[in-house]
Formats: sequence, structure tokens, C-alpha cells
Amino acid sequence: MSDFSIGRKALYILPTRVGWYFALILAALFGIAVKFDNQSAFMMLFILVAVGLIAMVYTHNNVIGLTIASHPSKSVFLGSPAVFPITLSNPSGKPRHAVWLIAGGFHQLSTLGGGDQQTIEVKLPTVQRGFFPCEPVNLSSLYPIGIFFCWTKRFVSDERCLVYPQPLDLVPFPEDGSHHGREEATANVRLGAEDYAGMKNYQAGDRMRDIHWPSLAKTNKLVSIQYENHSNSSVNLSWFTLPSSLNTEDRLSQLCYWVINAEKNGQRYQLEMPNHTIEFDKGMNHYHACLRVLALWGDNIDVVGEGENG
Amino acid sequence: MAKLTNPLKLLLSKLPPMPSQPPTYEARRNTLSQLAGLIGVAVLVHFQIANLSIALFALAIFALKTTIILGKLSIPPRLVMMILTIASLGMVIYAYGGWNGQRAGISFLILLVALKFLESQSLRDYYIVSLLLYFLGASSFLFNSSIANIIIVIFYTVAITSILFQISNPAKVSLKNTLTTSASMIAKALPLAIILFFFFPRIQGDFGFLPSFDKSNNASSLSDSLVAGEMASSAFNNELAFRVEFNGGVIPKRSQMYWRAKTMPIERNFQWSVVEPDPNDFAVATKIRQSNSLQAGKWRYQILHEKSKDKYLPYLDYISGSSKGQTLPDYSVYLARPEAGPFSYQGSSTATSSSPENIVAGFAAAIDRSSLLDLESKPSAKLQRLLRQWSDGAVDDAEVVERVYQYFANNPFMYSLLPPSLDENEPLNDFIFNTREGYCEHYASAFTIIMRMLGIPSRVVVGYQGGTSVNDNQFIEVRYSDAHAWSEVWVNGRWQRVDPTATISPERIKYGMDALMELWESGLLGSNNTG
Repeated sequence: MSDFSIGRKALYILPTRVGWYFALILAALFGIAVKFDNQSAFMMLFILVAVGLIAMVYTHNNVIGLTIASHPSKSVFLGSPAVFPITLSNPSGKPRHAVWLIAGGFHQLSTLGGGDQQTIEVKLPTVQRGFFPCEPVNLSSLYPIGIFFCWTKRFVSDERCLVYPQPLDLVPFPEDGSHHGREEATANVRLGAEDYAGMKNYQAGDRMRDIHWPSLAKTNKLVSIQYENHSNSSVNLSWFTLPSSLNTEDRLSQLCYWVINAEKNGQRYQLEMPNHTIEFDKGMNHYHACLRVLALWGDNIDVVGEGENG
Repeated sequence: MAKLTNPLKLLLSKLPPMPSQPPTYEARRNTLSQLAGLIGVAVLVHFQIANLSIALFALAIFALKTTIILGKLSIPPRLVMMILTIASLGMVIYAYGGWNGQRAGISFLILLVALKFLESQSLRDYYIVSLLLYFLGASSFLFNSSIANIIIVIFYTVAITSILFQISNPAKVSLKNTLTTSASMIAKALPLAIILFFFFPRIQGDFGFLPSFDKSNNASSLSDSLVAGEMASSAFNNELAFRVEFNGGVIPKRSQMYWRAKTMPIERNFQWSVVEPDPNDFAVATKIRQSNSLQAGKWRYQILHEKSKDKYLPYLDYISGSSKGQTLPDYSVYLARPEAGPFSYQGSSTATSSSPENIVAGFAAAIDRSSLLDLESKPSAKLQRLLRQWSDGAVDDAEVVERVYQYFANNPFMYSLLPPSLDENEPLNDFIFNTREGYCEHYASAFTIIMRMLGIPSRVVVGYQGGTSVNDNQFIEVRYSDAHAWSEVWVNGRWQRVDPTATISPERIKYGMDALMELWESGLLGSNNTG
């Protein structure tokens, strides 16, 4: 998390198109005042000139001193937007009005009271799997009367979002490993195959039927039942079993879908890639390690080293 | 740097990249109703200034837009907008006979605001309408620059600023916040504006009440043209023009002291100007010189003139002898090369211009009637009826002159140092029937134009009237504030001086400008006109 404070050298200001119209009106008024030598018109002209200058100062003061900070972003699947939490804070005592936070095509208006801070979830569309860096963030403001707008230097966040492949269901789910006669030859007993192992706090992704409802009534907390299943099914999700008609991205998408599915079913699964295999396991760490391999497939990043720490 | 680069582009290229444009949003209905209210005020005020039909038309357009806003209807199709635009242009031309003029201009502006408001949909349209309102508010000063109006317009400006504030803010802001912000912006702007007002150099003209700063460096002179409203500023110029010493103690009455400098025979829309003498004039001037006699006149005097760049020398009306310059057929004395410093000369004058019996050679009875009747101003229908009244049944030109003179005497015309500006298209009509307030040049100009309309050869004369007696009449001091304009008519075969100002403000002629200024400052004179 890094902070970026808007100093004088990071803030730029120019008239808007409306501001140029305003200047045009002032020029016309100047012509009228000179032609008719009308002192009141001169006075009015100068009032408007002064209003323009003061508006410029207001615009500038509306953004100067704000700070931007970025926070880590959670991984998403391709197709859903990457979310970068950005905190905008106003250390000064004066309120700031109508400040636009802009990152790429994302715009969010915020108004900050003195000393306030606000966390904005910058949502950016994902177009490609892999690491997705946050777009440079700018602040901009038209406050107070829209004749000047100021904008800041780009704040480039270090945060990046890992975009997993888009899950696609193109090929039927592979049969249990037992049918293939491979390593984990186990009896394919689905019902009652899982042994009760204990209770744990509910985690996103836990099955609905695993939730221990009586505990909810007692403790007002969601608790799921954990099963230990040595004997349950396991599946090998292999790059090689996919039909050769699929291209790389489709293969990754299909493997991604299978990983989600296997994890959902509570199966043990192994991801077999051409140069790398993640051994049979299950649970969130395993799940994300597999997806990470899929996300970064073909990149030059050493996915193996990072992927196996879970 | 050999490559020519657009400086703005160069500047922009050095700036960091601009962010993408925030999404546009719709102006809030609340804001639009307030904007409508402001335009409504402008339209209603317009009824006072402009042609009734135009104000009504603007009101109708405004009512249409208000209905659209309140009823959330869609704006009229393009064709209707075009028809309305053409119709309003037509109305301005029909009502004012053209484009020019302050009233036509402001009427055009108010129709522009109303039409733009009607067709407005996007934020930018509303921005433009608001900016035009700023301009409209300021241009109301062309018709009324009283303190009260300035204060009203400042409040109006606060209101427009609050509209801009609301339009430019995508989030809803409370009315209190809006008004306090815009009022504080204007309050902060005022001191800045006052500083600018006093230190910003003016391209033309002085502020009437302030003495000009650089008079001492420049030699003063009477202007070679007479523009309604310009001479009044000289009323505040207390600089000495010349001193006169009368020989033999024979001093004309103050009301006889018309110091004639130049004649203005050319009229252009209520403005008069001199004609540079041509060779023919100089030929006549040579003839006149032969009969030039400093001894002949009733009054003989010596003038010590301050430095001046004026080519025409003031002599007492009517000249019979001069020691300097060339006396032209129009009785003005021309000096081809102005003196570098103060200079003196002698003159002699008689009370009347040469009568037909003893006409001085050169001041020939033959005048070029057509050039002395030439006019650019056209009489309005109303004025034509009046002209007919004046000429009907008159025995001779003298009677017509008298009738017109009496018209000015018997109607509530007022003498004012700060007369209201006149309608640009029909200044004469505006002056005779509407404003009826003017400085000497208004009266001289109006009277002379009427004379010409009635077929009586006439011209405007500019010079000085009166003067201040110093040391028990040893000297008469004439200042630029004594500058005056009057009229000369050709009646009974000779030129006669007619000063319509004398009937409007006898004090001006009888007691002089100083006394009048005292009256002015004490508020007894023209107290009802502050602008």
C-alpha cells in the first residue's frame, strides 16, 4: 500500500470549453464597455474577470492536498471486473466537493468532508487472463462553476489483480480417477463416503448442505461441518485428456471450470499440465494454486515456485 | 526550435495526460426551474427597455420552455426552432429597422437567450444560456447605470453563479450551500474587481467624475466633431482655455459672450463635424482680409490663448477684424499651424453678423443652400406632423425659427450634464419625444436638424460661452468647462445665432458654467437623473 499526496507540482489546471466560452463573453463585454464607454459595464466586466480567477483558485484548492492510497486486489475470473480498492482521504479541514476519481474508463464522484476518507472500489473490465495492473488513477474536478478543470498527475498503483481464465464448460467432466485406473484407486462410494471430521467457521465456497444449521440458531454464527474423506472420489484434471480440437485458451477455460467444479463437489483433484503437475489435494489453497497456474499459463513468470506455497 | 509549433499544443504536450471525460449527466429539474426564473426576470425587465412585441415574443418562448421543463416534455423539433429563430430575427429588424443600436442589440440578445434556453438539452447548452445571462445582466447598464441597478445586477450575478455551480456539480447540493458559495465568490470578487476598475487602463474616454490624469502633458482643444453626450465631460475640465482683455472698457454682457471657434455643417445621425477649408475658402479669406479692420467692431479685445492644438481660434461673435489666422467665409478663423505654446492675438467684433446692407466683402450673401440643408437623419412620422405644424401658416423663416424655439421653451426639456444615452437609430426622435434631457450639444444638434428639415439653412457652431471675470473685469477667463454649442440659421439674408440651450437653462447663459456647476453639485439641477 503506497500513498500519493497531491502537491502543487502534481496538480494541473486549464479552462474547460465552457471556460473559453466564458472568456468569449468577457471579451464581448469588454467591447461593449469600451464602445459605449460605460463604467458600470466595466465594473461588471471586472467582477466577472474576478469571478473567473476566484473560480480557478477554488478548483485548485478543491483537489490540492488529497491523498490516494491503493489496497490489494482480489483475484477474479476473466469477464467479471477487477476490483481495486482505492482510498481517497482528505487530511485538510476543508470539505472537498465533487472530486472525480478516474482510472481508465472508471469514474467515481466523491465528496469528502474535512478529515474524511473514502474507499472507492475501482472496477475495471478484464479482457485477458494473467496479471492485470490497475489503471493509473487521476483526480479531476470542475468545482465550483465548471469554467476550469484541474487534474492530477497519474498515480500508478503497485497493486495488480490476478485474472483467472474464464470458466467454460465445453467437455464433460472427467470420470473419477478410479475408472482410469490411475494412482488413487478408491471405491467410488458417494453416499456416506465422507467421514465427519469436525466443525469449522463457514467459509465462502462451503456447500450449503454442509452448514450446521442448529449452531446458527444457538450462536448466531455460520458453522460448517467438515468431512474427512480419505475414501471419496478423486479426479485427475489433465491437459492431455482434452480433445485436440480445443485451443490453448479454451483448454485453460475448461480446466478452470473443472477445478471449480471439483472443489465444489469436495473432490480431491490433480491438475496435470504439460510441464507441471499439482498433486492431488483439495481446499482453498490448492484451489487457488491451480487457478493461478491456469491464469499464468504461458507467461514467463515462474508460476511453479509461487503456486506451490499453499 | 526551427519547426514552428503551435504554442498551445507545445504547452499541452508538456502537461501530463488528461484523464478521460467523466460521464455526462442531466441537469436537475430544480436547477432548470431556477434558471427559468432568472430568464423570466430578464424578460420582464426587458419590457421596460425594448419593443413591446419583442418582449412578448420572448415571454412566449420562455413560457413554452417552462411548460416543457415542468411537464417533462421533449423540446420542439428542429424545424420549429428554425422558424422561431427566423421569426425573431425578422422581428428585431422590423422593430428597429436593422441590426445596429443598443436596443436592437439587447433585444436580439434576449431572444437569443430565450431560444437557446428553449432548445437546450445538454449541460453545455445550459452553461451557454447561463453565460449569456451574465452578458445580458451587464448590458442592462447601457440603459440604466444607476447605483440601484448595479446592486440589482450584482445580485443577479450571484444567482447566475449559483446556477453554474449547480450545473457543474453532478451531485445534488443544498440550496443553502449553493447560495453561500456563489455569494462568497462574488464577495471575494468585488474587491478584486474594484482594484481592476481603478488600475485597468481605459482605451477610450474618462470616467465622467474623475479628472483625467494626463491633461497637463497634452494641449487641449475643442473637438472637431459634436457627438451627443461627449461635450458634457468637458464640463468637468476646469483647465484654462484663454484670457481676454477688452480694450476701452467696453465689455459685452455675459449673455452676449459667445466665443465662436468653429462651425459644423455636416450632419451624420445626430453627430456634427467640421469641414476642412478648401482652396476656394482660402481665396475668399484673402478677400475678407482686405476689409479686415480691427477698429471697425463694437468690441475690441486681446486674447491670450493657452497652448492648444486646435486649428480654429475663438473670437467673439461676430468677427469684423482679426490679427491672427485666416478668416473663413463661415466667420471662423483658421490657423493652419497651431502654435507650440501660449499665444496672443487681437480681434474686433460686432453684435450682429453683417447685415445685407453693409455686407463685408467675402461674407457673401450667396450661400450653398443644398449643403446647408443636407441631412442624414430622417424625420419620424411623429416628428413630421410636428414639422407640418411649425411650417403651416408661417409668414417667413423667422417665424418658423421662433415657433421651434418656443417648442423647446414650452415643453419639459431639461438640461443635464449626464443625459441618458439616445436610441442609436432614431436619436433625434428619442431626444425630442422621450428623454428630453440633454447638454448643450443635444439642443444645438436637435435644433439645427429641425431647421434643416424645415428647409432653413443652418449649422452648428462650437465655441465657448461666457467666462469668469477676474480683477473687476480686467480679464475674462474662459475655461474648457465653458465650452458650448449653439445653432446658426440663415434668416433674412444673414446668419443669426440661435441658442436653444438658453431657453432650457437660462442660468447657463446668464450666470455661466461655474454657477451652473454649483447648482448641479447642490442637487438643484438635474437631481432626478443619476445616470
